[in-house]
Amino acid sequence: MGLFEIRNPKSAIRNQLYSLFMKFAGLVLKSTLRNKRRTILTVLGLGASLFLLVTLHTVLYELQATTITAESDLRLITRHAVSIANWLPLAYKEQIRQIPGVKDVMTSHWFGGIYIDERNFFAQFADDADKLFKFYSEWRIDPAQREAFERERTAAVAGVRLFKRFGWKIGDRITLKGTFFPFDAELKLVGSFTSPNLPDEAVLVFHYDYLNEMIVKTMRTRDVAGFYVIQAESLQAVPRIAQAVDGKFRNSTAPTKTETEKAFQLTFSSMLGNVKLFIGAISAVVVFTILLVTAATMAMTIRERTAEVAILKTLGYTSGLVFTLLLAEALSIAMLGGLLGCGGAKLLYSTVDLQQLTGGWIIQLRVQPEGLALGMVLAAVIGTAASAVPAFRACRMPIAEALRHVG
Amino acid sequence: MNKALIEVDHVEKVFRRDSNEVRALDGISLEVAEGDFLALMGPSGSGKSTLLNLVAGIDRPTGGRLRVLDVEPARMSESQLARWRNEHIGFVFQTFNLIPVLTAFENVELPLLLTRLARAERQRRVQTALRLVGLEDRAEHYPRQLSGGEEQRVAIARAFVADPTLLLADEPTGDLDAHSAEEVLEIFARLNRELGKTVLLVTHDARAARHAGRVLHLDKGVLVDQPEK
Ligand SMILES: Nc1ncnc2c1ncn2[C@@H]1O[C@H](COP(=O)(O)OP(=O)(O)O)[C@@H](O)[C@H]1O
Ligand SMILES: [Mg+2]
Repeated sequence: MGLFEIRNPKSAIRNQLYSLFMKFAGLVLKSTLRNKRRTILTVLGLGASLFLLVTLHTVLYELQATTITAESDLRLITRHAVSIANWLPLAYKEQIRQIPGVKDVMTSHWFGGIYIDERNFFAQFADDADKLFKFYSEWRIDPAQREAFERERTAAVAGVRLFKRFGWKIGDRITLKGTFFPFDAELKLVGSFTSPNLPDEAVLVFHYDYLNEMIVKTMRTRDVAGFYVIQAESLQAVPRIAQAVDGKFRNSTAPTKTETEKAFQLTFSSMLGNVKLFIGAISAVVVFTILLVTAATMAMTIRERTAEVAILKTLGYTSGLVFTLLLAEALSIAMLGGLLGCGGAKLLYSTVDLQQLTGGWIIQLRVQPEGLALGMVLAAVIGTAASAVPAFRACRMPIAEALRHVG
Repeated sequence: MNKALIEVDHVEKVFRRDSNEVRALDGISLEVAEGDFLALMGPSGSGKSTLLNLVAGIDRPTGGRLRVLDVEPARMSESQLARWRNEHIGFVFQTFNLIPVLTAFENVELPLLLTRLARAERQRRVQTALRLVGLEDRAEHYPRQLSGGEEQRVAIARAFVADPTLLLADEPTGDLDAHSAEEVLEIFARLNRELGKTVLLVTHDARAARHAGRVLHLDKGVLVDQPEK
């Protein structure tokens, strides 16, 4: 008995809320469809803005996305302190290897050639072929293909995404037209690999030895490296190595900058801090603009209903209930916009081949649950903020005065 | 004479806006008994709507005492008044009565949504009310699909669907042609005669007076003896 007395009121309230919702859902829904064109435009506007926001959030996420593999944490990149375009002497390789904590060093060069057409952009590296799959042990390749790659001087391997994108088959011969190198790379595709870090699957690698040979043949320089990839013995050694390497070459003609591979990728995708700030600023402007536009629309929608509010109140609806109904109406419109924007982003980015669409610049955009949640919360906040003040005003106005406004 | 449902005792209503002062009701006194059909007539601006609004508790007097159905609306809070209106008062305006996005049925159902009545019971009552005003076949029509007279009849159905004691109407025939006006007045008369509703009807339509049991004339905020006769 006692238990029931405690429990009943609660479930009674819940039932009441439920039946309240059911009773007025029709009224709210029909009200949102009152001015169909305006509602559709509001929903589309909100949807587009939230789509943009979710996209920005996802881009930011992808920029910072870490390679989850433990192997990548053990890798460091040493490059010229001035910029990646400045090359390093090949002699550094042996000197770096001597540094305590360094397990091995691999030479690497950015090729940046054009495959048929400039739009077919993808990352191309010339690496020590015998070391590639030791350094990138998270990459999975058929052992026979790996062996073929290591054996043939002009062999190349590429991620499965590139194979798919260009319809390549094993054994195909391709030409990468040199851009800052005065020669073309004539390569034979001997293997394809997969990687847990999906952007890696859009990378092509060929022999550093082949590149160096061409450099020697055509340029007045020799034995240069674009950068070095260092494999550390342990995680603890990583910071020490970075300091030691840069210390060693500080006063040389080619000072270095050594950082973890992750940090290196971030510098590659421009200054992340600035990007973040930039994206944050755009997002703020988008949110603020859509809030203003929505607020203007909601204010208009609610002002037009002054008479209706007065009628409902005359029928015995309390100001609180009318306020709730108006807010529910604005919220459903806003949430619909939210669903459209967030759902649209999720759907688009998971079905469209971005790599194809963007010519390789964007490998993938994985919309995060937090991004979707952020979008929906913003939709709710915008809906509430945009309608609360006009709804409050409309409900607070005395009935007699509201009627005079229209009558 | 039946018990007084409405007691208006030296009621005043002064509207102040900036330095302007409008004395809409100037110490007016009257009583309406249960079962009365009272027509309130008078020229525009004489204070008819003001009086009706005070009785319905949608405005408050600035002086005097007003008792309606044994309570003093002036002493009640907004939410108490809302609930009280829902239970005891049915109100019909001259225009803008119906919510345009709702069907006739849904408009009539609005007051019942505030009650604990189950859906089936609400439906039964709405249908009964619509039948009484002769619009049972228009239940699914939207206001824009109805004529002015039909709209007013839907508004009347909504006013009495919750079975209130008192029906108030502010110039309900003001926008209607003669035929529709007659239909509307006939409905009020029937509600008064057959269901025993007390009706207080504001009008400046002389025809309305024929249906009413009593006619009062208001001019410049005070009751006057019948001016034209
Ligand atoms: N809210 C208000 N503010 C100022 N004056 C008002 C207000 N409501 C009514 N009045 C004035 O009170 C007088 C009576 O108005 P009302 O009751 O509407 O007259 P009726 O309904 O008889 O035409 C008019 O002079 C009108 O201008
Ligand atoms: Mg009036």
